[in-house]
Amino acid sequence: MSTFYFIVQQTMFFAIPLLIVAMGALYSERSGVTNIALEGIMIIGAFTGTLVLHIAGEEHSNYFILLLALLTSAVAGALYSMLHAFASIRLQADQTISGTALNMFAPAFCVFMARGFFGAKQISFTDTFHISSIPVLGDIPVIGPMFFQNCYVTTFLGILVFLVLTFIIKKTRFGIRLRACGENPDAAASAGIDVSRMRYRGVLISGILGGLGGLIFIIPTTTMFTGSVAGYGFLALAVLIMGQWKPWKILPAALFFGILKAIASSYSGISFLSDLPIQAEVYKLIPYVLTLVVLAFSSKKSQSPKAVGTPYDDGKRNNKETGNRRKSRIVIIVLSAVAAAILLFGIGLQKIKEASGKEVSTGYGAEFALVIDADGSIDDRSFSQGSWEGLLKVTNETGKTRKYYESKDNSVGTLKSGIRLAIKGNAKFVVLSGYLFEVPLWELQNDYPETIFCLIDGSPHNSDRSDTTVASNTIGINFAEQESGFLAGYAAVMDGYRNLGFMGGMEAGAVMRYGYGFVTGAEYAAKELGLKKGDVTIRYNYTGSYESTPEALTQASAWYNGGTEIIFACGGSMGNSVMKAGETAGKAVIGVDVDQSGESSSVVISAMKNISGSVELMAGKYIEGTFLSGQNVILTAAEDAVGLSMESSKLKNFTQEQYDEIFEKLAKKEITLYSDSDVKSVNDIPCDIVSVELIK
Amino acid sequence: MLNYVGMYLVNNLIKNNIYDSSYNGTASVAESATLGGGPLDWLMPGNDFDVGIFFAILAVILVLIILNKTVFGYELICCGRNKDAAKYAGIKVNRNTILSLTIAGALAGLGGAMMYLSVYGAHIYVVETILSTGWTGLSVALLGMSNPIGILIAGLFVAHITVGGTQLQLFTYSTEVVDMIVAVIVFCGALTLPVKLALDKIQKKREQKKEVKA
Repeated sequence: MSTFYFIVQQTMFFAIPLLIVAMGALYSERSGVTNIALEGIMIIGAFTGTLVLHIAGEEHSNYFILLLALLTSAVAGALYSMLHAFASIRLQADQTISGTALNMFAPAFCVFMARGFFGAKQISFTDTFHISSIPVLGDIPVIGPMFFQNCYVTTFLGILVFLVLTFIIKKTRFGIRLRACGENPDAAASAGIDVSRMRYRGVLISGILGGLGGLIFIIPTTTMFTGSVAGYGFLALAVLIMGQWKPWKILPAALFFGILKAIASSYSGISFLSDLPIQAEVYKLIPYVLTLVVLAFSSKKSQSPKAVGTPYDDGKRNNKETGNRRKSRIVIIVLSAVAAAILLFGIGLQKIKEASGKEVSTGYGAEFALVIDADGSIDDRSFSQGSWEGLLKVTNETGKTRKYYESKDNSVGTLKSGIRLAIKGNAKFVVLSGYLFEVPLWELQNDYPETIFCLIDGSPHNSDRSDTTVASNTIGINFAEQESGFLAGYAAVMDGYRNLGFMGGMEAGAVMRYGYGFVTGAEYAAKELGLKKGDVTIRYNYTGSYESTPEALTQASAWYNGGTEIIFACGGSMGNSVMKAGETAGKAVIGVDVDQSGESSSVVISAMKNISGSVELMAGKYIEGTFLSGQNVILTAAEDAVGLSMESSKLKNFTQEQYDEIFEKLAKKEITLYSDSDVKSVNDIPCDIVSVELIK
Repeated sequence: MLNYVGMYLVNNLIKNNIYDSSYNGTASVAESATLGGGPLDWLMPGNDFDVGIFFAILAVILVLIILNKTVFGYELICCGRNKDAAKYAGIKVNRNTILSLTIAGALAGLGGAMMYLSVYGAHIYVVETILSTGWTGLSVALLGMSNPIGILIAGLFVAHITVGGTQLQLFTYSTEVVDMIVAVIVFCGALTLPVKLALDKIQKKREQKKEVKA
């Protein structure tokens, strides 16, 4: 039964934003304006809303602030949608063009502004709005746990908004007039309705709802906003189509999408589902395939508004694609290109702000450079941040210039041009953060013998790993993550946890080593405690992403719901979703790479590796002129490069003495550990007591 | 809708066939299978060019010929201008729509192949987001005003400022500026009406002057 309740609760997180935004789309389309800009509107809404929550901070986080944030989102969404309305109603522009442009603009704008405000790409916020159980209502049998436990006030707000809007469009004069404008604007106009004004209102309402939906989507699903709403704006349009532009059909459509999303992301924590021979993609595919089927069968008598997408013009005088329209488009494009370039370069000149010690040197290029792959950023709480902090320390002491370079994607060519860019900027010491740089570095290291390359978390090799030459100007720094993971697993079991979980990002070297160590550590502690076979269980999964997504949140929640007590979240921002799940479930999380105890109250301890320290060390050696290059090094407990964050530990039973003792053993290499080169899969690690359930 | 179906289907196919865990995506393409530089290597050694550009130009020429020199192309344009008129002229509208979508699919598929077989060493990742390249392609088509030559120019322009945008980091600009610029241009491209009205007015005045002279 609890599984059933759990799925219903999760469904709400997915379905409510979809429902609200789909209702927004309904208003816009019913009035006759296609609004594919909803994705962008949601992003803008989520951005402004989280901004309010962020500024309010933890101590001021209350329902008044939430209301303020919701209002801000709605206003921002409305304003943004007005751009679309102006273009498509007043200027009779192609509605797809304007929508596409707005979708493209929104995420770039949000990240740009976040950088301006905080010098960071992400906006974190505290969420104190989770309700574990509503008094009285939560105690009702069956319905209570389904709808009134583990919920958000925004869920009910969403349903209320839905009911009000349904009433308005179906029963009021305004609603009927609005629909008339979408079906037959000429008839509406001859009945004395101002079609343009009605359409403006339709788009305005969709903007308000889009903005609201964006924030309502973000609050329950993550702890920080990264300039994305994971395609939910487009999904809402799918819901609208499946619901055939009718409110009472949109509701089940949204719930249907929601439930399948919930099942697809939580099935690894629900035993009877994970036993079925159905792959996750099948669940995820069903709603879309079904929508297509619905469309195929209903297209002859489609319920879509007849005049949607066609600009209304009372005289039909400007609609022809005459030579002048073409000419004017060229004029506009050229003019706007010039204007946009001047304007945005002007804004762009505003240097990335000197916020939270993350400042970069102004001027052209820098001597010390950090090149980051497309997944990382200098505030990712992971190796890119660690590397940047290390560089900051050294350059602050010596007064040298530093700069970081981000990459648009992770292809070898793009990463190579990132390295070349740094060198073009006169970099002498280049830090490359992440194993994705292994191949690009191998290809470039001999081309620039004057430059020192310092690769974090990897060692250079060619694409099929047949050549692993390290040039004399290169050093590959690797960490014995298995030791750090070992300590985490050991501490968790010693502290009394029996049902553990490991959620890794991608199945890559460092993540695998953390995981293998975690399992070994749990086994070691279980043996020391004299536990019996099967006393300790570990759920083990690679989620396949370093991003914070609602899917990761649901997966972690499902694990917690299925009995997991503590999850080792090992994958960049993905960890934020796990922490969110830990907060709502009141369960524990083990952080990774750096001390993450400040990110969430659910983090009890972090398995760390000293990235910033090693970058600092290497850069310092380079300045001294004693750089050890031409080799790969593995930093271990013996060098004090890995360990747990014992200063901020929230573990109840695991003491500093116990830690020191086991750390000493590790440093003396008295414990057998497995690296990703020793065993192929986690199942190959010999375990007598711990039972590992590898979820694919 | 098909965006998502395609994405999940491809994710599943990758996972079951050519998965490489270290990329969480497709395994690297063998060097012998990537698009080489061909004559470009000889022309400009040391560059990351490949023959993809020839395919792109070829596609532009092909579409130009189809649209402007064949009966089918003429029918297509008719269908786009006015469906009903085309129908009355005896053009099979549905057949043409399906054919045009097929051609669009073929070209998009070709584009995808160019992207992943290029010497750039890209991988298809198993992620649940739809690749933004398709949307960028749409913007390019809009910027190019749905004209093959225009699209070639617009495509080169967008590619140029995207690549150039990363270079801006040397001067401490953030790369998002580029996306914003493209978006603003595309958006403004849609706002033709006021300029058109102005041009119409000028034209009318000229015609009136001519009439007066005559």
